[in-house]
Amino acid sequence: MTVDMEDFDFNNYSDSDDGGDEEHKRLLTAISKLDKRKRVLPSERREPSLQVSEFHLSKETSSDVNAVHLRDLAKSLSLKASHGEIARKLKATQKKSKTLPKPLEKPAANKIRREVGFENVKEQLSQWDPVVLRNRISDDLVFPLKSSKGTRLNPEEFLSPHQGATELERQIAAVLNDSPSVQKEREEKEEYPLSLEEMIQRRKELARIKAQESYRQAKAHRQNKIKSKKFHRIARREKIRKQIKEFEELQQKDPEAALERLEEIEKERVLERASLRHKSTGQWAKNQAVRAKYDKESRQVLAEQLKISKDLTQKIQADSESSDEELVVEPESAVSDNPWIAQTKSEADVDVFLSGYRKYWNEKAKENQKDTIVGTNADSTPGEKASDTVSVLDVELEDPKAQALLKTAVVSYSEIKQNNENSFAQMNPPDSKPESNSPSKMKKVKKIKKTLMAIKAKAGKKTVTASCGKWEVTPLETQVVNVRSLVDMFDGLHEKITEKAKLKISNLKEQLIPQTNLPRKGKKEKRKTNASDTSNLLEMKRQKVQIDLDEKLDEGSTTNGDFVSELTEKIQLAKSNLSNDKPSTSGVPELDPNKFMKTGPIKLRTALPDEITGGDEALDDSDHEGGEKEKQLTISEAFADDDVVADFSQEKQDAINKSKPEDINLHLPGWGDWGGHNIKPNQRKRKRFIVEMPKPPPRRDENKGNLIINDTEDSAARAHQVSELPFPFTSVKDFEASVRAPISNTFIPESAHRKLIKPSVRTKMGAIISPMDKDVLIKRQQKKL
Amino acid sequence: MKVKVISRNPDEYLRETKRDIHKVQRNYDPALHPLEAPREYARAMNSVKLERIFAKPFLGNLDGHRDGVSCLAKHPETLSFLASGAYDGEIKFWDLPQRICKRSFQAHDGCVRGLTFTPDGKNMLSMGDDKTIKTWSMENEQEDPTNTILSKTVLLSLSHQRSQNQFVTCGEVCQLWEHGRNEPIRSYQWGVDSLHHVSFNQVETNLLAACASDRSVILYDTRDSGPVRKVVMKLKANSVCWNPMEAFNFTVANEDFNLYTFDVRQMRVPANVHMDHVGAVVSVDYSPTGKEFVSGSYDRTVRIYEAHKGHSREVYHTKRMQKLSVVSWSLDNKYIMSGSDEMNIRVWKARAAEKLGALKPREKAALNYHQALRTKFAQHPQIKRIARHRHVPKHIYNAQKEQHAMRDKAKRKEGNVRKHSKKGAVPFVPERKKHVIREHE
Repeated sequence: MTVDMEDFDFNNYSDSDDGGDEEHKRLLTAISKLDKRKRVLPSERREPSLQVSEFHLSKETSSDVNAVHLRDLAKSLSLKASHGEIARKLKATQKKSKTLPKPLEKPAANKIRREVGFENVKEQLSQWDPVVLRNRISDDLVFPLKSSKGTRLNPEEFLSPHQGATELERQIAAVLNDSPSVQKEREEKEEYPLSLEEMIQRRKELARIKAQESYRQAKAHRQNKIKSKKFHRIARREKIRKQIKEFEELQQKDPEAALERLEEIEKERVLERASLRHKSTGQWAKNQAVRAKYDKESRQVLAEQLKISKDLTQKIQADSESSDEELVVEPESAVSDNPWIAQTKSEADVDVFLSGYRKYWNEKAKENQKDTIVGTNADSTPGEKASDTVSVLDVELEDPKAQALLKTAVVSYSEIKQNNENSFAQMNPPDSKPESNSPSKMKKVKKIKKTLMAIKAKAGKKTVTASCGKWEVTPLETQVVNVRSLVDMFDGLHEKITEKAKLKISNLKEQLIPQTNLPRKGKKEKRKTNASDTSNLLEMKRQKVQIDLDEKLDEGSTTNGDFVSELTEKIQLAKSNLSNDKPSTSGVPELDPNKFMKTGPIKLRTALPDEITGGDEALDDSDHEGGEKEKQLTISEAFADDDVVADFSQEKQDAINKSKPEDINLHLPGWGDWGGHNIKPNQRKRKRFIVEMPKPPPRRDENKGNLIINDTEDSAARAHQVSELPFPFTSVKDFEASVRAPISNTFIPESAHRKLIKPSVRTKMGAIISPMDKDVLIKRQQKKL
Repeated sequence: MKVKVISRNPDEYLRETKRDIHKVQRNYDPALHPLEAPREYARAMNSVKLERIFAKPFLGNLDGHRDGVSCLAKHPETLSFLASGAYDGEIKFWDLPQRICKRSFQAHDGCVRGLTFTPDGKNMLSMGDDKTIKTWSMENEQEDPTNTILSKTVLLSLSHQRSQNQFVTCGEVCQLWEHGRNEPIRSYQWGVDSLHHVSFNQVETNLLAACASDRSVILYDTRDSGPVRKVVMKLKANSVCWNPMEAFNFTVANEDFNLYTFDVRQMRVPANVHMDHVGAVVSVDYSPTGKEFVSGSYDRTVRIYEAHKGHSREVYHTKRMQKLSVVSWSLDNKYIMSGSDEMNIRVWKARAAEKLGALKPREKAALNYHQALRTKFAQHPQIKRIARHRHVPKHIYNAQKEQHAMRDKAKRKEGNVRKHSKKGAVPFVPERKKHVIREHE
């Protein structure tokens, strides 16, 4: 203890009463001295000042007896009754008010601020997700992007007249600019500028007019292209009729205009008359005349032609009788004489004939229909059943006819089903496999479909009468069409039923999945969301699948290409091969050497299409099997004298020897020793320079007797073959397909070629690519006008 | 006897001029072309060989600096203009097509640390070891700067905001400045002694990232909160560059020979680790398309990476090029500029085998076709071998070998430890998670 206790007199303390306060204080200071920690004393304000340091505010302590409290000041309020109001208010406020919490320490506050700031940043940046993703997966990016400001050309600037290339152009532009009409127009424009809506309206109107014009043009073009004379004839006639109608209307409305129109028509007529059209002098008319003897139609056409020419000339007669007489043809006589003209009525005759024929056909069709309907109505029970099924299937058909048809279909279905069951019962003996006794709707329908198909197939040969109950299947002569419709019907039904079944199953599944599964699912989802965050919500695939290699560059240096290291590498490779591919020969039985004739070439199946052979193999195979024995015989006969087996084994031995790796002899005569004509090199030294190759792995044909497996045959090609599936591809099949699909214009059309070789990122030459602009994020509002 | 001969009209197969293209009648039935794939493969093979033959990326050399080049600045509106600052305080303006120095002047005492143009391209800011920020007018060739700001703190890096007239410097603290004021308008500090590189986000223009000497990368928001997040890595990040097309991605060049691409929203794990350098990576710059970036390293090579891939697609080196101090990708996505310690600025093609100049349509189509063929058969071993083979100098080759051995050793050891310890005690840690120590909120 470092505190000296001598200066504190305990006896004295007990004695003195009056100086107790002082003593107490001293005691306290002494005790506080015992405490080694420094206590910060509450500061005292000595001078009045405006600024109060935040560090000098001290917490009020209970020990602080001398401090003045609010309650001390308010004591005086209770003395006077008039102050009661104030006192009450004061109490109320005191009750309500709370001391503010202590402000957070600075590091903690900063941390919170940073966290909030980061959340904001995150949110702000997440807006970019869709844009970035779109650009990442896009197959056609052109930089500078359209959104960037730098590339936007101001159209007015671009089209300004001062941009004329030649002097003349510039002068013209200047003159035009200064001309009063242009000035005036400009002023007007400035005076009444069109609003955006008006401009868009105007543009729309223009576009509409242009479109209509183009439609009309296209139509005219199309009609002009039509070669049918008949069509043109009809069109012309219609046109004339229209014109006449118009003319009549005009006559009533505006006689003067009508008169003008009449003159025009007259002029046209004159022109036509002046031409040699509608005479029988043209080549066409002559041909028709030749043909007319046997061809009714050409006769008709010619007659019409003549009639027109006659009309044309007739009018002249009516108009001006003074005109030349030679041209006038007397109509009456012509009508009577001309065999062509008499034929004009034949069209009507043809019509009559056709109508009669049509009537007959219609009646026949009706009869057919009736037959089927009667067939359905004849039986009531299947019909009811059918209606049941119809209701079950919930097929909604507004058309009564269609409904009737459906009914027939269903009836026949049920009937055939019965029939089927009967036949099954007959066919299947009791000891055979019993059929499952809970056939679903789908099954039934399938069955019926099968039977229907069978019936259809039979119908080609002969009629089938399937008797079942009261209803008789009508002979298939009339039923073929019905069967077809039935099959269609059932196809439709089948689809609907499968759909329904699926829906029901899914519903059931949903119901059946107990609540126990739900939290698990939730968990999964949670994990998913954790992992993905926002970016994965927008996962999309690239349209074009391209190999995306991410591999290290093959970086080599020329300095280290020494022979020894290469050799060691070679040896190591061979060793690794040795250790790696040891074929398991244990399970393979040894083959009988006598059977060597039977082994034929084995074709490996690849996914490559069979284009080259064109499916001829099947034919070959059948041939092969048939003539196998004969071939064998002939071959064995042919090689009767030769020792085939011995030859083969010799060949195999050769192959084995050839495939063995040879030792590498690095010995140079005279290296480190004397060399010369008569000097024998030292064998021991020589051996040191021979690099022994490791033993090769056992051959795959080692124990296979008369079989040579040549592993190295296509080694040259193997170097070019892909051993790994590249990244975006998930199956070998897809990758093979991608390699097989050609992209060059030698094999595919130019347009497809262009599309396939288009680079995914293009940049414009000399254009500055500015960073992404925030404008991309702004959704532009479509003006509704 | 009438003899029928095959006669052909020469008009149908002879061209009058070279530009005439006759319609060649073809039957595209695949059955008639059984060797489609092999023929295309052969073409791809030829194409890839030719590509390697034509791969001559080095375009030119800009020499004239009397000390190592410390910084480069691209002009925002003129492609042919380049500014460079050196360690002796000299700034040079270059005309790239003519490869001449247009102007050079002593700007600072000591090293020029930062150089940047204002977005309108009318002024240039430079900053040096003499703690001054100088504004130079580009319109008149004045010897003196139009404005000089004396900073109270050491300055190490400078970056200009894209849209507003604000720029940021870093050194002891990160400070935000505004044109026309001589005091920083904001200054941010988050318990680090020194920041050596800072870069503004080009898309979200109120974000910036800085590399600190305590191995951390700090993200700032200039609007309100200041620093918002910090990620501490195993080794120091040397420089940082934001992706100009993807607002939330930035790449840092690290002392541990790698580059790391971060998604700002998930800084704990970098989105990608880009390997292949064999020395500390000093500088990184994105291509304006945001699809690739270039990096310069102490190993005296420039490498080009595709932004989403872990390995470089190209490595550039020359015998005399020493340690790189700065790299920069031109704004038309065609060229790369590199400044190095041995006082030269080199200009490279961004795509080594690209043909420069205007192309005729048929030429362009042919090049596109060859490109498509190369991508189609990229996985085929021979094509891959030729396309990816690069000759590198001996020191890089050896360094790579050494590193490979080291990595193998570590891997083997880890495997052994895993083999002899309880199952699950030594977990497999993906490469991406190995390099970040922690993320500070």
